[in-house]
Amino acid sequence: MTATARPQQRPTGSVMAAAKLAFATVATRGRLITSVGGVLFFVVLALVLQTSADLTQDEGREVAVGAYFLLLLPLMCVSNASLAFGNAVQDGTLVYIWLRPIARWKLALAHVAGTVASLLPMIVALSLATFAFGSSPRFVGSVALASLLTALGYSGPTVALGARFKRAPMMALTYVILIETILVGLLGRISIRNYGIAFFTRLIGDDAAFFTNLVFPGEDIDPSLRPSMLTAVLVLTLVSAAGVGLTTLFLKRADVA
Amino acid sequence: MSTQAAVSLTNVTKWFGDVVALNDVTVDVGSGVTALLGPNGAGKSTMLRLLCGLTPPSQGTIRVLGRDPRAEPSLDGRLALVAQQEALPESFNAITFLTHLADLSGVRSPKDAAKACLDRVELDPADGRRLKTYSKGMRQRVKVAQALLTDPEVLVLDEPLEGLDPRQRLLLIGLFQDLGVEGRTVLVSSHVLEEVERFGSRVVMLAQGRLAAEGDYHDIRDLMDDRPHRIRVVTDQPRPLANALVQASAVSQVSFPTEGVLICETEAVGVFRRAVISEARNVGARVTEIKPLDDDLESVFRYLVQHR
Repeated sequence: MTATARPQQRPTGSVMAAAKLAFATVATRGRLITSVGGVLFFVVLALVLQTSADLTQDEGREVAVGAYFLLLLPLMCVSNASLAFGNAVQDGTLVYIWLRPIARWKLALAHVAGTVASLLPMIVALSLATFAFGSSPRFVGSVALASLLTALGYSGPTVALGARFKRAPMMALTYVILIETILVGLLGRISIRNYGIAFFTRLIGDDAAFFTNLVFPGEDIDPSLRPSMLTAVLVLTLVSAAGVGLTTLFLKRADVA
Repeated sequence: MSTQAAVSLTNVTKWFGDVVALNDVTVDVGSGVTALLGPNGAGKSTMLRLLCGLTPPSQGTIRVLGRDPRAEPSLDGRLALVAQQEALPESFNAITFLTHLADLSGVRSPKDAAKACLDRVELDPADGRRLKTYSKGMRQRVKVAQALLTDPEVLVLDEPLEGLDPRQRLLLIGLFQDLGVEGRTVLVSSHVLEEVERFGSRVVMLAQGRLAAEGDYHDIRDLMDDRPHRIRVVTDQPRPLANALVQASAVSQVSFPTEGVLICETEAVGVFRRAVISEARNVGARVTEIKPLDDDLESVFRYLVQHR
């Protein structure tokens, strides 16, 4: 038997500390090379199209940015976010994070923040590339801002998937391919990517015609695929917040191996 | 100020589907080192996971330092675990991993804390190699080091000596003993009974998910009154001494396995000890050794496990 006095308050972990750990977990050298390399690939693609397909510099730039929003950004987002907790869930090291004196919501929020931070090199690389293509500061800023908001939208729910399911990367990839690509005409309302793209097109305003045609080909565009800027911001923010809430719940209920 | 056990399980049951891993276990563990024993599948790891809050009990109540470890993970860093699984985040090196965990725990000067803990388990904080290159023994010591980061009051160790070489085992046994002497509650599960005896004599024994015994294993042995104690006596006159002990009703059975050795069986150890001295004097025998043969932990453990 032991005498136990009223325990003194001890320090607990901060969101910043957890975000640093999440960033270090997600932002591996391989993923950084893949994301920045992806940007370089689209830049080269734009240059090739300018010379071979007789596109203007602006058109070439928008093809590259369009491909980035359609393909690279969603794939890197779900890849990084699903592994933020997913790595620990898969290899059985979640116990080291779980048994730390830090509120579960802080852990969840920090892992979303860490995931978004891990995508910054790619976003900066694309912003610099568009600037090099002679884009206006507004266009460059719009690319960066829309990328961040889209990354936030993807990261919330995908971090939650990673905290709950071992097959989270596959599930998130299936969502991008099935819902956001193959069935986008039917299920556009639940496509995170579409809200991100809508936000971007609203930001760049009148210059959006070519880009909109690229992303939403066809004459009869479903209005639901082109939400207003406010709707896009609200949806992406709320989706991310819901993801943080779900992650918190999953962590609280987790049966940690 | 209230007086209570640091770790308390009350009527705790845990089942996974149809499998009952732990069945109505009630046990209190106080400060110092306590060994958790049981054969494979006895429910040791389940019990340790439960009291760290890693999984909820199906029934019953668990309190660590008076609080619910499921609702308050790590109890502000007062509770720490060395988990059984070998896995560590492979992309980190030891100092980076521990610094992150210290930072995550709100420890002041996380890097200094990480260095101190690595030093304590004799790992080099300057070793920049990734954890995936570490041997099993080194990984085990990293796991122990991370558990020390928050200066925990309750330390739960699930098979912490596995994979260690003899020198490292001695190091960690000494460390656990020191932590116990400092007044912390150290609960160590192990299946290597010889090592468990070196932690101390306090044990909690599980068998088939149930509590088989708890307390000092010497006391437990004394309570096993349906089984006579076997005692080896080395003397220069075994037969006269055996006769005298039988006459004095101090033994129920005697045998002579080798020259000069007498094996006695008795239900009453206290009576036997007094009798052997007086009867040896009476017959003029010189006794050079009296040694209990089944008072060790292994004997107690085997008896309890086989009789369930």
